Amino acid sequence: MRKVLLTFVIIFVSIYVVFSFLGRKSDYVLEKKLWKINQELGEYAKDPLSVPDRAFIEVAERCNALVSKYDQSRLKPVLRITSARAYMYAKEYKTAREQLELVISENKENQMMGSQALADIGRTYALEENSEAVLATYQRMLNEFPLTSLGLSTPLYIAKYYADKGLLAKASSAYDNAVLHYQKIADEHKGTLLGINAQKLIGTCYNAQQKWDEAINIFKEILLESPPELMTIQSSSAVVRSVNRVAIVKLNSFDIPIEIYEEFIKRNPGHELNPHFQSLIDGFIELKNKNVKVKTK
Amino acid sequence: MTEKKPKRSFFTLYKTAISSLFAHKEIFFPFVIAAFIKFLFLEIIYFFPRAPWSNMFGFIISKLWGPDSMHFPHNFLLLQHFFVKVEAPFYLLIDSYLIGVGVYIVHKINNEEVLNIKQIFREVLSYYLYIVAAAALTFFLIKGWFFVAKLAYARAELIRSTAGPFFFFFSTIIYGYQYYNLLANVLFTTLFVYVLPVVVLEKISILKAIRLNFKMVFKYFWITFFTVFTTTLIYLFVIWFRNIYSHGILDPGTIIWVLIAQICVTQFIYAIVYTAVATYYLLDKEGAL
Repeated sequence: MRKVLLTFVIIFVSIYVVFSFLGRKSDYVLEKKLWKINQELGEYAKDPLSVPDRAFIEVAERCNALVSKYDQSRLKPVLRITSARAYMYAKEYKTAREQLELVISENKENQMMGSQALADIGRTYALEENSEAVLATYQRMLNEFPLTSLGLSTPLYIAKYYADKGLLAKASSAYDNAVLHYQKIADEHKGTLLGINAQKLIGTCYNAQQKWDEAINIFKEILLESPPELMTIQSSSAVVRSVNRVAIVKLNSFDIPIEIYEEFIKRNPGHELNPHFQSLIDGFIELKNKNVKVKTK
Repeated sequence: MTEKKPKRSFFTLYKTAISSLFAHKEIFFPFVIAAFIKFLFLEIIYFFPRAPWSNMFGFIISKLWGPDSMHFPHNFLLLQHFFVKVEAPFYLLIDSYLIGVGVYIVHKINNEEVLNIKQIFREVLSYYLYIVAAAALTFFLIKGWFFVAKLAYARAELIRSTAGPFFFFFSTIIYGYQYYNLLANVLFTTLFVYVLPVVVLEKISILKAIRLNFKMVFKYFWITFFTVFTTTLIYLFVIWFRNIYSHGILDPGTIIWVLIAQICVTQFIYAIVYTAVATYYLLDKEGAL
């Protein structure tokens, strides 16, 4: 029995050693290390003021060491971004930006990663309270990554940035520019999810500017003119909520959403959204008959 | 006048069975094999997300369970999933046979015969189908209980009361769920625990074995129950370890140790329970119980 047991142990250990050796350079090992670093950074970030800067720099240096060791890994940009974030907590903004610039230059094909790195560059300037550099970064985002999720939201960020600073005239002008920017994208990518997202952002701009009629018109256009197959419960929920809020709360009209949803049902018989729209129509008719007025506090 | 036999207490019998197990370590042999097969399976699925396995199976796994399951720490969820999925076939097809081998070794030792392991494996194999059927009987009863228990758990989850009888029902079910399942496991195992040893030792069909099993269970219910119950208490260690793990305090990779503990403890429980019941059965047969 002892011989058999020894054989089992040898087989077991040999498999472990062989597979560990074969997989020593695989991304899995790096994923494990990165997960641990992120856990540590997450713990420190809960109360960064109580953590000495040196601890953050050590985290960053560990990331840098892994970048050198796993030079060919697809996780290299993630390691650099994690390293940059650790430097940001240590207030080493310049070093953080150097890391992030490397992410952009090394990942020209990966727009999402590049835009993420650029957004973090913007954050470093914001933490330094360097307004000009923040705006310049926004502009760079528009030039280099206009169609990524972050790039698409950038004109809106610019307008919000001015509004937060109390520069209302500049904010208003930025919203107008944002609408023009989004309209261009919507026209260029008509009938695609990107086009629909750009139209949704136009609606957000109109909402921020309190241009309720324009907002309703764009939301109506999204629902009625977009390809019906792109109008799913998930993709349309934000638009439907906006239509209801703007029409009922801001314009005091139940007729507008009723008309839009009836038109949708008429144009798209058998669509998955029809039962939902029908229940909304029924509810709104009942509220209208009861002469209910919805007011915001 | 007939001479009355002194009644043996549970403790004496249980102690005898355990001493016999540790005195004849050969009994552990089939249980160690079962543990080794499970460890090997665990080791292979542990390496799935890494090269070279990831190159071979990565595509299929990503397609079936999503791309995350090939990455740390989500791969550990898949590892648990795989392990739960293979539990039933492992128990029915491998564990049951090796338990049968263990029981037969106890019988050979009891008869003071020379142990020829190869011969024992071969002899028990000829009753493989009956053994699997005997194991399936207990297994599906326990699974049936789990199904009912899950329904009760799902119902209890809907309760929103914070006081009164409904809250009592809610707390009892939710907090005691694992322990009720363990107790049910003990009860169902007790009811059918002699079937497998009887099939192996008497080389009879499953129906006859069930009849003999009930004869033994009703004759020695409390001895059998406490043998299963006392031994199964070791499993509480696995439940607590698992509970600590599920609270997210430990590293995700600790699940490997939870599963290793589960394998070791389960095999150890099988070794003790089946050595004990086989000993009781043989003693009863000899009129010594």
